[in-house]
Amino acid sequence: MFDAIVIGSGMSGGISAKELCERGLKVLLLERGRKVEHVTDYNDTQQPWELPNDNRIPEEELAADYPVQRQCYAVNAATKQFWVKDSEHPYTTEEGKPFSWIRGYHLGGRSIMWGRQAYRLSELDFEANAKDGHGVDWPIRYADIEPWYSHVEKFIGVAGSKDGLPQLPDGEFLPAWEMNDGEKLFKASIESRYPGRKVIIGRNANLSQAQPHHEELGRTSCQNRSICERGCSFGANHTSLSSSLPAAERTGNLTTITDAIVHSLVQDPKTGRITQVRVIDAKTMEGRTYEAKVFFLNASTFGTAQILLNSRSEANPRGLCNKSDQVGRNIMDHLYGLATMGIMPGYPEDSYYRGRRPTGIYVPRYRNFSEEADGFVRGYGYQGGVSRQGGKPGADVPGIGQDIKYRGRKFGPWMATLFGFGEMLPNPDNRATLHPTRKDKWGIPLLHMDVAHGKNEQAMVKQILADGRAMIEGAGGKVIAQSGGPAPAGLGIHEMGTARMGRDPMTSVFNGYNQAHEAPNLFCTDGAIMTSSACQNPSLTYMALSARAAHHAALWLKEGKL
Amino acid sequence: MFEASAVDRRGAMARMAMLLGATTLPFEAFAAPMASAKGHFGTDMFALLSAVADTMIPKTDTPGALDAKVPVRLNMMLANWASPATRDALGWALLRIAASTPTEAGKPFVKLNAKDRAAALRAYDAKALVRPPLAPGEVDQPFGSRRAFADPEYWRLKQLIIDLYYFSPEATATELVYEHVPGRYEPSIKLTPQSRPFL
Repeated sequence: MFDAIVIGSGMSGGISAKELCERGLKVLLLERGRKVEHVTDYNDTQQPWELPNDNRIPEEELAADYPVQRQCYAVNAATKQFWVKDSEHPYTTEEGKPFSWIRGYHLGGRSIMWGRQAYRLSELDFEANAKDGHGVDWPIRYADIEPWYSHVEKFIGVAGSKDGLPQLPDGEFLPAWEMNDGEKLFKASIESRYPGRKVIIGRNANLSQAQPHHEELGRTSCQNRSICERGCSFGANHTSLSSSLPAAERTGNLTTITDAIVHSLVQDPKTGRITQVRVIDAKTMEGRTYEAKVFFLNASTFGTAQILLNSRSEANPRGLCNKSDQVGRNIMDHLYGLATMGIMPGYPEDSYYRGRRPTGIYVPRYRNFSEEADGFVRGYGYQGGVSRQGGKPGADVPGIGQDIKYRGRKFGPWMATLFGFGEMLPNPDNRATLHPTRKDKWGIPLLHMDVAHGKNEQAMVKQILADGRAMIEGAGGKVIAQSGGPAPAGLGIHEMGTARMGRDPMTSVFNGYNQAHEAPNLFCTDGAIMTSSACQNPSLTYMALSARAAHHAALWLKEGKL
Repeated sequence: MFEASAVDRRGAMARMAMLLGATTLPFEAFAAPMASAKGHFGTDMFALLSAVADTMIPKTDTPGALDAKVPVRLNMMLANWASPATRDALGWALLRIAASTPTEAGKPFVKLNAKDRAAALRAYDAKALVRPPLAPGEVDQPFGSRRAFADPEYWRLKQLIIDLYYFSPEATATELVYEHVPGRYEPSIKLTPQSRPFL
């Protein structure tokens, strides 16, 4: 018997495993996908012309196997190995409600391909539900998680500037990347025109300057390549493979089993404790069980919901830990795909930059904080950048021969781009359920998604686009392109909320320590537990909660409380 | 059935290529690389592709599309990446270029001298890339356009040729700068007459 079983090896599972191992627990890590080796399985050394088919996946293969995944910006020939084949891992959606479930089933999960933006939630976010009445109150406040944010930031390495913003607390940062001259002008314009709005450099989990504890794990400083999603042979971005799992492995306490699809959890009806996890071998279809004292669900927002719902029993006919009927509900994803682009006349024509910086600029939330909003609660932030046009010419401009070469050599105007990321409210009608009849090839019921943006989101979208335009124009730009509306839910790849934390067992699934209300030795620290979504990229919060929950689980196990 | 249809389509394209004079010699320079590569197009269509690519991005004081092996690489992509629909669409786009030349220059495209080929392609390019104007206050969508080109498949062909050219060792050594491992990020550098944009 293991001390702990961690289900899922991605962003949160990697940290859960590391923290539990470092506290002396013998840990079994179960990953449903195949084994991937750090460095040797990456395609990051190839030059652009060395990648097959100009780095494109064959069209028929893309249409047949990746109809959903292909919507993600990072899907290409160099990264193909990290995305699931939709043809092999189907799900269903409610008619007229598209939902894009972007996934990677392999050791390390989506931590390999993530966008690396790393922001803390603030007191504003943890109080939001209680103040406006949407969802249930978070059972924790910022002070509860603050030291764990620091703990994780130091370990993973987050580059950022200390900006002193209450809505976006500072952290334990490595040196920030610098803004280019266009971004500095944009920042000055926005901050002078809109008091209360800030333009800061994006905070990202790339090692701007590797520290000794990073180098001990074989990680080195970022080389400014910005091909992070291929896997980084320098280990410069935090992933489970470069960072958390090597830290877990060096304790000697980690056992990892890949190709192990968790079917369900088994609960002792007398004690409420989880006793076993049922696993199906992805290759042989063989079923087996593993036992432990403590279980951590880190299977991702939907993976966790699927496991809980599929752990039905006579005592729990609608799934494990689901007396509240909240498992699978309250799906949130950030409003995504809301881009505004504008050229910036008058920006310095003699200035340029060198290197592909692995982050952009960020405009932290201001609506319903320093500025009021008309017709919606909560808020949004913007990711973006100001970059110099030029380089590889587009085919849309008439001209051939020397015209093309001259255009390529010419430095063009500066272009500002702002992508809005908006908070989505927890709505119990946005839910995932087990399909009543269809199963995957391992016999597990498919998930059926029923998710739509509500009135609050629709009102927010309008304001995101209006503010994006106003800021670019206010900074002296001319808007040349803008999205017409948000991308389908899910494409933000920030899905959350299917097994939320809360104080009341009748309205939530996990408590303030990420411990199941109905199973004292079951913890969950992936996106499922998010009680609200805020508008910040959520991975840092998953990792901080993972470290915090692991600390308490290990402590309570030692004290005989579990 | 599917295979037969594909063969029929390719056969029709080859026959059209012959009718348009996109035949082999004396354009050995365009047909020669076929000996070392297996792609989608046969000799005649490959010669036409090569002529178009060479005209689109000719060798000047820097390498051209032929130096960067664009026709060979694109022909391989058509075999290994493109769907049948894309192969057809790009093939017919090439043939429309060829078909546009007899009336404008008096000879089939591949048999024109470089200057006349350039004039013919420039004329076709200008017509093919016409788009409806934006309405007052309207803007395009990011990373694309809501407005269709007169010949969208020509635009696609042109973009592929441009992409393959610039993503080549020849172009990155002479036209644009590509550093696979930049190392440091330098946020502010002064441009000089010798500065070139990064790829």
